[in-house]
Amino acid sequence: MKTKPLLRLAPAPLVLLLLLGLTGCQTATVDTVQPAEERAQRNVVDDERISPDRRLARIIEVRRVNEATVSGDLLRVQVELQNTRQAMRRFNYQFEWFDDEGMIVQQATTPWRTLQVEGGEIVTITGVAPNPRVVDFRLKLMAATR
Amino acid sequence: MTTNVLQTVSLLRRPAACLAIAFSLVLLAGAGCRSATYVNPEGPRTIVTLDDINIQDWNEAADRMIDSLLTSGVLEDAPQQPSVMAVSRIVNNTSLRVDTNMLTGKIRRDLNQSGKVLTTTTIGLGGRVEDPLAQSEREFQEFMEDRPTEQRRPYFTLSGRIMEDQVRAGRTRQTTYIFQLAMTEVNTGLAVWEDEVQITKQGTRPAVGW
Repeated sequence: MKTKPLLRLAPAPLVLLLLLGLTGCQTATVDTVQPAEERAQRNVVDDERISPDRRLARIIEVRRVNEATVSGDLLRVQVELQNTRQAMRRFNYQFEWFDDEGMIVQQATTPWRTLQVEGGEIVTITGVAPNPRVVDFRLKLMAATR
Repeated sequence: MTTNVLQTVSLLRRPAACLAIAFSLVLLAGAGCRSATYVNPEGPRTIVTLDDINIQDWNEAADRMIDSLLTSGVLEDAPQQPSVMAVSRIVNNTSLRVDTNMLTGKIRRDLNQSGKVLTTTTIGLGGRVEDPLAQSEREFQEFMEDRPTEQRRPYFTLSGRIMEDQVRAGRTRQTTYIFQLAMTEVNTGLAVWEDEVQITKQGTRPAVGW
């Protein structure tokens, strides 16, 4: 009896999925070690989250937001994020800045930035206000477009 | 010919084969032609190429440099606020023909808006000024009033270098663009701030969005 080749026996979608799996991302998670009690005095800010993309909100967890002042009078914001998944994820983010009247403060450059976070990794993203009139900020997070 | 048609018909009767064909058609449609449209140049739907410094690369490099400079605290050390900066040489060591003003222009504008630094446009490297009209007007005023006008000299100069690194593993290519900037205090000649931004792109072909 003539043996049929394996690929002819296997359904096409299965082969396709297998190929996609082989070319996919390798899983690598990041373990973290830090002091049990922090010595740094962080000015932690209470934050409000608006998450229409619930999947992204589950993957990228906002751990804490703290702010400080640099260059004498410029607001600096630091947001600590963690990838809760085992695999690497990419996402984009952008800071927006507001003055004391709640009006957006335009900058010459306010680009979206991209960030690659390994599985389980904690990353810190930082933004510096464009001028001393800024009193508030908004951080926008978005899954990578591809 | 008839045999081929019969084979095709019998193939279409298999659900798995139909699914694979439909999936391939969807993929082909996705990779097909797209009409030209406007995209936000600061957003994540711009084109990514491996052989160019894309608009988002310039934007990110400038943005990160500005954050670093404003965080460093060196700008407050100038005796007169806001301090004056002149743009010096930005060396392009890449294989590309680029306008380094893509980087320095954004940095200048953001520093200006921060209220920390003003850029002079009448003092330039090798005597080549950015705004010759302003310079000639000042010279004219000095001639008419028979006394030198008060021109603020730069307290800082901004210089830098752009480099590239290209490697390949099989079909996958990786390009890194390295942006180095230094701010020198003119009086001492010391680089009081230096930073480097590396932007690495990896892939086999250009893509829309990132």
